[in-house]
Amino acid sequence: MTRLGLVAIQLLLLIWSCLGALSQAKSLIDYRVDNENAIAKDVETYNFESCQIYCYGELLKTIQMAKLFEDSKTFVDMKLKQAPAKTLEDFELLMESKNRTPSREDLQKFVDDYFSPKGTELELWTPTDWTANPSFLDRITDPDLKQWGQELNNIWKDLGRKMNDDVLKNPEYYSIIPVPNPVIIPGGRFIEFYYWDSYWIIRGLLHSEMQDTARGMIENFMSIVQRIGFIPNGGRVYYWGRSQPPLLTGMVKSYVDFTNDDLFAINALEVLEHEFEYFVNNHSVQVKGHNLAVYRDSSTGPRPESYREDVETAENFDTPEAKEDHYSELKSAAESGMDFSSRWFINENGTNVGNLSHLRTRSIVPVDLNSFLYWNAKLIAEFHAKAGNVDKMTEYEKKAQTLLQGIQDVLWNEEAGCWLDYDMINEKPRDYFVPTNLAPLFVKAYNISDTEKISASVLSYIEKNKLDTFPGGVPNTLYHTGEQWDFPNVWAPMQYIVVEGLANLNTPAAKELSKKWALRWVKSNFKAYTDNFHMYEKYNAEEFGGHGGGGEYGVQTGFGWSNGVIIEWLSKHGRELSEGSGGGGAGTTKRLISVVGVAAVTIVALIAGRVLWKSWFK
Amino acid sequence: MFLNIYLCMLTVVIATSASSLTNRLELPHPREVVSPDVQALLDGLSTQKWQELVSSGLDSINRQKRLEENLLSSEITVRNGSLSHVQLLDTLPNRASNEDSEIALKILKSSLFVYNTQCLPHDIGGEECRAYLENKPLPEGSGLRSECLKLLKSKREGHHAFRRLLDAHYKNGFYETFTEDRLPAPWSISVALYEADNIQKAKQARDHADVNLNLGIAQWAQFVEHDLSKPVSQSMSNGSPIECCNRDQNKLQPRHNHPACAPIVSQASGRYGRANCLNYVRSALAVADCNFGGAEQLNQATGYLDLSQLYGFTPAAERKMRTFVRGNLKSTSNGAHLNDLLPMTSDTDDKGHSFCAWGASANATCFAAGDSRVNSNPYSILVYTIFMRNHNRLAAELMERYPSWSDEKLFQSAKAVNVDIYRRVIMREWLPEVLGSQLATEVLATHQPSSRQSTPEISNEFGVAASRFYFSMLPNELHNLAKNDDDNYVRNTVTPTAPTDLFVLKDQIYRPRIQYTAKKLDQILHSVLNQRALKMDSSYAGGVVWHENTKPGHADILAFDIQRGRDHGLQPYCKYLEVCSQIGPVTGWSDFEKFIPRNALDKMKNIYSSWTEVDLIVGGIAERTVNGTVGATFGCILSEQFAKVHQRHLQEPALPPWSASLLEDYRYMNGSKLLCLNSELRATPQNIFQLPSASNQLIDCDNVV
Repeated sequence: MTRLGLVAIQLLLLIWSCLGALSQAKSLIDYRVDNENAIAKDVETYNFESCQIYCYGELLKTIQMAKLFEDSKTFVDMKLKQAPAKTLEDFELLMESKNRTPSREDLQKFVDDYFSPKGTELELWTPTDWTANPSFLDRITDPDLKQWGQELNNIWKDLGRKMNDDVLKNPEYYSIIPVPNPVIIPGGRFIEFYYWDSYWIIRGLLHSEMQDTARGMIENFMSIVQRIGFIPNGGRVYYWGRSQPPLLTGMVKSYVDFTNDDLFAINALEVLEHEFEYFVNNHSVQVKGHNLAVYRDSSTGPRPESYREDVETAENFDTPEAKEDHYSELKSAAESGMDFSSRWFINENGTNVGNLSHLRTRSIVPVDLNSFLYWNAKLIAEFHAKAGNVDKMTEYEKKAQTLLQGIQDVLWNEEAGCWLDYDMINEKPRDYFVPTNLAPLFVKAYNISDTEKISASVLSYIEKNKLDTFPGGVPNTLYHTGEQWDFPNVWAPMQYIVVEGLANLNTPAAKELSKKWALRWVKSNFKAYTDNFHMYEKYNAEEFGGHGGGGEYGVQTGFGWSNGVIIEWLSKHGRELSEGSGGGGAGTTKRLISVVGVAAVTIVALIAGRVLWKSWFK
Repeated sequence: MFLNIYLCMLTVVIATSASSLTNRLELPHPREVVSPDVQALLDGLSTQKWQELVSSGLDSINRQKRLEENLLSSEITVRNGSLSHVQLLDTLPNRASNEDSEIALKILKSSLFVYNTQCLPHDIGGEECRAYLENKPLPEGSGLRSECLKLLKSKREGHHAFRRLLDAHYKNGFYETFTEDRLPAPWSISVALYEADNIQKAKQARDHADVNLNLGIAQWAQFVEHDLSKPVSQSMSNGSPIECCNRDQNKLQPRHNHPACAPIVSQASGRYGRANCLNYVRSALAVADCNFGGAEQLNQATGYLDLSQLYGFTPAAERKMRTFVRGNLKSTSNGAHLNDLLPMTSDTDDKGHSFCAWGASANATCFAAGDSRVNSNPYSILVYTIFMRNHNRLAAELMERYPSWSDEKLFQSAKAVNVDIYRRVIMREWLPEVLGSQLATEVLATHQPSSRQSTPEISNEFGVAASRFYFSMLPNELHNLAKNDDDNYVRNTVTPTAPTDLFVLKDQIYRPRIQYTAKKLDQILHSVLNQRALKMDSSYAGGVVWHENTKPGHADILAFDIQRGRDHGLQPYCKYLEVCSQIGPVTGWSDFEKFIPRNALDKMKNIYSSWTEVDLIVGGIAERTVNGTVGATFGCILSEQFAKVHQRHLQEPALPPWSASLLEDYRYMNGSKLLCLNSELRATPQNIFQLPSASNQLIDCDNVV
């Protein structure tokens, strides 16, 4: 059975490498030219045929503006019944016959006739390397938490997806971006793979001993880089022009750390470098004499998957240019992964008070992005060292040092005692808490000799912002705007960055806080899970075991990155999570005891009768 | 789960054993016990920690202001003339309530921080945590404590927290409601219980021809509700009303959800279906004391019968209603006293849209009174008008007798007499019809409480469930039972074969469209006295529920009441059945059989996955009526409440000193005389809540002086 499976995978890979070669042949661009600026994101390389249906154009606009579906993403995930050209032709005929103002019913009929339901391209797939008892479970002492770990491991089977054969044969009928290997999706409305989500998913898979699945997902991303030069936000053609926080190199690093398969990293170098260069070239800005990066989208129009929503917020702007600028800000915020947040608002007064119309994502130099790019350069250098490419190693070390210098000079803020995003419009740091302000700790983008000083200063920054007062984790910001990346929402990847970052500092105080927050996060997620048997996409800082809300769509369950973080921390802290740490799964016995207590008191009360009753009635 | 059932059974044991100790108008109220471990653990927190928890709660509330600014800048607030506007008028808070609610919310938020940081992580359940906190004073020296004490010392404009017959029932013990993942959605319950109007009519004719109640019983039930109970909506911190649905009556984007939103939504059906949405904003909270604790809802009404719905709940509101001449209330005068209508909102400087849900048409008819609910429907407009006329009639009489009296003295005297007449009609005529004469007699036999006891407020169960029984008795249309050609209504006790309708209820709710004249009101009164009330049961007329899967054109009262019951943390129906009926622990659907007719019970079994889930309002309206108008459980809740109301009447006469003898002079007044003297009806039935018949003879109004 397993052998057969392997053969099948190999066959599939073979087919895919051929397909890959074909597509490269079609869209070949030489990304290794000397002049780096020659590498620009070029829509021509983004030659997915189905983009004419799903990315832009009158059909997309007309259908999405008719509000046919409760969730705008539904339509762009539907499959075509006819070829794109034929569909567009017939749509044009419809428009002509209806005087260019078709009714809702006309459009419903058109969608019924030309599209089939969403999600059919992805089949449920049980990962072939899934095992019932990965060894991380052995490291969990508490029986309830161990049981939970087991259930989280089971969820991988629910989140596994494989593209059906028709996608390979007729990719132009789908909005999905074809990839060679099966994937683990986040879950909920996110029925395809996502870029930065996959970092935490892959770490969870590795802890669950699913190295093949993890590697397959990394190879998918590499195949996409080979085809179009960058990794889109998620696995749909309509995410054209926007990426997500660049964590592919980090994924490779994780894989190598778990497998010691250095060769994998070395073989990946060409692609990793390409992604890095491409990303830097398309996101670079000059600040205070430094070259740093911002999140920046390069497509046109509203987000196809939230088309109407974007058109509505664009009503705040008068000219087509201003509207287009607004769309860019929205999509750039989506590229940051934090769509949406007051983190990206700059109003007339230069503060973060406002709403989506104040999005100025492209004018804010983000701490996380530059830290990630630093990390990419460091890791690429490290992989080159493994390969013995001294020149390349030195080259990337240099790139890393340049970025580090920029991070220190522009983003570190002595007064706040932390790194801060930088507002290029008002030329000032943005002193608003975001977990990403601590991202340099996570990737060690600071001078190790300054550790003591940074630790003290960051801990007092945490104290000042009262970040330890929240029972449900560190909130994403301290501003309750209604957007999903704002207060009181808490996100697993951000907990991870903060907690692991503090651990990296390795000072006693930072380590203590790091562990406290990790344990609290696990327990709070466990509480939420025991209430409804769901892992959530986002949680609530004000509640122990509560889930998040706000934003554009309802809270989603599943959920890839939340599962990944918990599995890692169960693995890491499983022994400390048992007794004495107060609560968590250890509560069951305590709970029983308290019931007995209540019962005893009640019996006494019944015997005592009247006298006690009176005092109970107040 | 096991734990819950176990505790539930314990409560049952406690409840049943206690009930034998008390009379049936006093319900046992078992309370959660705090274990010594928990007591010790929480007692161990430092003062500084308690301060810190309070400041976390305050921070949280301050952060919400940012969201509110965003909502207002996106125009997410109640729009004039919208469905949400209609609902808002039913639950309109005044400024004092908003202030009270804001402090209560701060206390609740602080308590939730304690729960989430100190109780939950140590596996202390919500009920026990709350029980501890209810006895834990807010920290000395905290701003919140002084704010709270200051509020309690103030007059608070007379409003209070609703009392609870049973402990609050929340998912987290404090405030979080059980939602659709645990309970069927309110709207789907309402839709499932609905029966087409013609089926209802046929059933009515078949099963309840022996019921002789007229629509007066429902009309006065609403009037009494307006006097005793007014749960109001929470508002934004600047006072703006909260909107939880978009303008197409669909759900808002989550980013626009105010934390106080709990909209009533339907299931989307089909590929292109959308979930419909009706506004529901969680009720304003009230400060019960200056301890931590769970949510208590605010009652913007006094806990006794005082006609505050007419005169105004606050001194300021009362001033708006007075002419300050001859002791009169404002009216729209059409010459003779019997032609007077209620004043228009324009006469009372009402600038906003706080009485009618008209949109732009500012010139439309809109009556003013002491309560935003006066324009709720023509029935309410009528009964408010009767009492306004009666006041002015009394004032005129008094002025004739005591020409030297000042406006103030005339006004206070007329008010005292008016209230006294009203109380007697309610307690001696209306209540026996609702509860049956035996239970009503017991209520009136309640003694004055000892002065040490605190004044009993209105119960939550009464305010948002039992007092709402009348909605299922209202028909879609009020027929015109007068002969077309004359106004000699007296002889018209037989329903004409083809009655024309005076109005269709759903068109009139907070939009008085009828051309109101004195004659029109007389027609309505005549028809109210002569049209049979629908029987109280779980099918409501189509005009007050929205049973279709289309964009709603009006509210759904039943879904609203179900949602509100959950918002207020009422226990499920079975708990009240247990304490009320003393039948021992309820253990299954079969225990409901004695109280609920089979067909209604079958429907309930299809709706709820367990008998433990049935909402109080749903079980209550479905019960077989006993003696009076309502079933056993609502009868129990109502009688408990009216016994308390009666006690308060004994306790707090609150009358001007000179009026005692005056009241004596008007002891002869009763319901039929009240109607005679304040309308142009030729005759009224002796019992104004029953159809005229051989045993309920008509009284000639000409003989009433």
